[in-house]
Amino acid sequence: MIFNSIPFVLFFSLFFALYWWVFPKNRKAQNILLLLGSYFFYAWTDWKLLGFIIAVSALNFYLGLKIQQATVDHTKRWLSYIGLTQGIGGLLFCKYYNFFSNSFNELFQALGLQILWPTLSIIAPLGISFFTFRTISYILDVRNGKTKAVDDGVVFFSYVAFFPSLLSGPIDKARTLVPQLEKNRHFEYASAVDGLRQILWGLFKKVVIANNCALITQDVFTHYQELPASSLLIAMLLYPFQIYADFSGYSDMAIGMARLLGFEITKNFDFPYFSQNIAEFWRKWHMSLTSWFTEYVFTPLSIYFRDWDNKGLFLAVLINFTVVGIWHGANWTYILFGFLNGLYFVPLIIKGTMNKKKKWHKNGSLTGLEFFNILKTFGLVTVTFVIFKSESVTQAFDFYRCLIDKSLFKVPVLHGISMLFLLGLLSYIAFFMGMEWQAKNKNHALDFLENKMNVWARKTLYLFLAFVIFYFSSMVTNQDFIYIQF
Amino acid sequence: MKRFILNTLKLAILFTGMVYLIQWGISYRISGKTVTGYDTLECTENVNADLVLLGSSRCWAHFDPEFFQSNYRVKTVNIGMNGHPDILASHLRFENYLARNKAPKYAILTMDPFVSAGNLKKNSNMVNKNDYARFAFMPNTMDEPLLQYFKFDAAERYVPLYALCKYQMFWDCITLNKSDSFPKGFELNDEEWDTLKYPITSENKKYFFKESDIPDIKKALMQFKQLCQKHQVKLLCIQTPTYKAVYDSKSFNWPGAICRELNIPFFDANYEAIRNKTVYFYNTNHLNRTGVLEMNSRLKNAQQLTDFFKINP
Repeated sequence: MIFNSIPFVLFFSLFFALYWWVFPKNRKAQNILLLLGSYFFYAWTDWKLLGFIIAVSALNFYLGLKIQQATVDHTKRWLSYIGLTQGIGGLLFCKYYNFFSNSFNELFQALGLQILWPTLSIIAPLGISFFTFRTISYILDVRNGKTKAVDDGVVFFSYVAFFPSLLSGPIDKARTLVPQLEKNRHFEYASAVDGLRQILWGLFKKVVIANNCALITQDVFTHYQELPASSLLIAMLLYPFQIYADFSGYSDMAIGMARLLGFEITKNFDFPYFSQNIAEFWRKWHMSLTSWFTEYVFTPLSIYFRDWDNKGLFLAVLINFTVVGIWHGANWTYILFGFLNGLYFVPLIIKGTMNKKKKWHKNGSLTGLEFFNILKTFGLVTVTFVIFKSESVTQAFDFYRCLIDKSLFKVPVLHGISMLFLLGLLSYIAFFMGMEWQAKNKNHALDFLENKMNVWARKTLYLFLAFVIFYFSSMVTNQDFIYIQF
Repeated sequence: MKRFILNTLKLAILFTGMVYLIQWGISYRISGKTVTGYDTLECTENVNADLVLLGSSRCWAHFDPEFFQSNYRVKTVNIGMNGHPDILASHLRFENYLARNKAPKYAILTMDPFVSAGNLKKNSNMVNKNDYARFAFMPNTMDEPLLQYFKFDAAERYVPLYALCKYQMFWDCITLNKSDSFPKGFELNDEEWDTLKYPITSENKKYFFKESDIPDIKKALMQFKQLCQKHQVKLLCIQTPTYKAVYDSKSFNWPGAICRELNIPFFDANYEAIRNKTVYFYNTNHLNRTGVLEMNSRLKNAQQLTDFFKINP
């Protein structure tokens, strides 16, 4: 059940009514409803694997309590190892077993060895990367005393399966979401209205920007060898907007829905395409994942390598980003994507500007250098996303090869796409980025309107957005959210 | 909470009203007109023709209403449906025509090896469905059978603008830039046969009906005949030319045999002199302008047609 579908709208409307009207002041009943709703939401997509998420929740709930009860550090450590083995092991097995198996087989073949590692037909549970990271962070936080073990089963199970962010994040740590599940929630008008606005903006990004960009990028990346380089350039430039609008659109909808239910979940994007270097980009892109990796992978690694100065820092960054790449999926393209992003940190580490945070000028203006840096970072990200988008590393490099060609100056060929459509799409992207630029210090792009527009202008804008969403959701075949596959 | 629900509802009602208003405006704009040239349901209303030409694209692209008008003095309308060689489609289209007009004196149905019976429940032939999307919203009873044939769903029927957006007709309806696609009332292909684009091949033979399909075809044709009888319409089936690459005498004899068995007059206009020359065709199945003119010059002298229209030139 994806957010921008009729079944979900019906499900959420009914859920919302029950949640606030039937059980408005009963936290326990709201939590039970939340849990049942989350399981229904999950089962709608993949009922066969509902047992898996329940079993994972049960094991981690039990381990959390036992870790807290344990008085000996040794016992705590071993109990947390069980949780980590289940989490990381489950993830590795479900998502990466066949990838490693195939890679080993290719290696053995290359070495002339007649060893065949068997491959298995495994169905990875939907959202496994997201709910596993929730349970891992919970176990580590309980062990390190950063959070208390949850003793209410409904609260913990709801935390793991919290439906707005179950399939594609944001990845909330237990210390963010669990306290909210444990306290009474009251309906707040302003928060709910802003939640609706954020959902509207998320839908706009997904339906108008991402789905339309996908019409071009999918075709060009599939037939890149037969098309002029100018077509490849267009697809390469559109893909960053597609993936950003797709993923941040989902996050906006998830955050907006959570706000409608009285929760404040982790922000996932902070206008990353206005970043002036790659470190800033990663602080603003998929923030819940970056923060998770920073806390549980990068920080321990940088402490471990701290005696090696910059080399240690670089090594920690490189390992961290390679693992970030692997997290995305079982393909060498993701590993290379992560590794390259790690490499891009080298100049920043050398200059010592990796952690330097840029603040916007009060009047929102940009210097020429800042503008250049934004373009430079966007360019780097755009070129690297080709690897992310490609089916294989070979295909990615072949795409680059085809891109550097005389046909770059030819009229682009886009199958089934008229120039009028392309111009329309570009104008929507310009509007999208313009709105995001206006709101760069806010939570989301429609957040800044309250002070800048009168109520009728705002309503007209909402109606316009609703209309283009309606228009394109009727017209363009809906594409799956890219990050659901991860 | 109450305020939130009320304000959300207000905005939702405003949005729904806006969408309804746009749908209403578009419906008003396209009323009685054709948007693409293929959606002829409304613009063939109150035509009250003497002769109605029915069939697939081989009717739509081959029969010039003007020819019948000038030669047989019968007011003629061509309502052939592009991409729909099934008799059911012609039947539904004719019923729609009859609901909007006085019954004609004559009907000509194209009959060839490409025809099929058609099945309303299992129809999967959605060619040109987009052209009928304009009729999907809150359909009238006359158009209902055709909408069932094209399987328009509940959302397409009851959500304003949805069908127009889904089938990408929204801008065509606003601009009406394709509405004069077929000014002569049929699809006249001016081009010569581009054999690179449409190679000379016998591939289309795979679409011929098989012997096992004949009982269903007979049944469908019988129902069509009964519809004509009910409205006292004189029916004639015509077989029009195909290029020789897709011709085989056995298959092209079946339509005549079926018609004879059902006691329906049949005329074979698949002239050898035409089917042997590429110059008359646009592709293997369709005549171009030269071909249509050539066929017409032959039809003009056909005694069977003269007898059918009961005139004495």
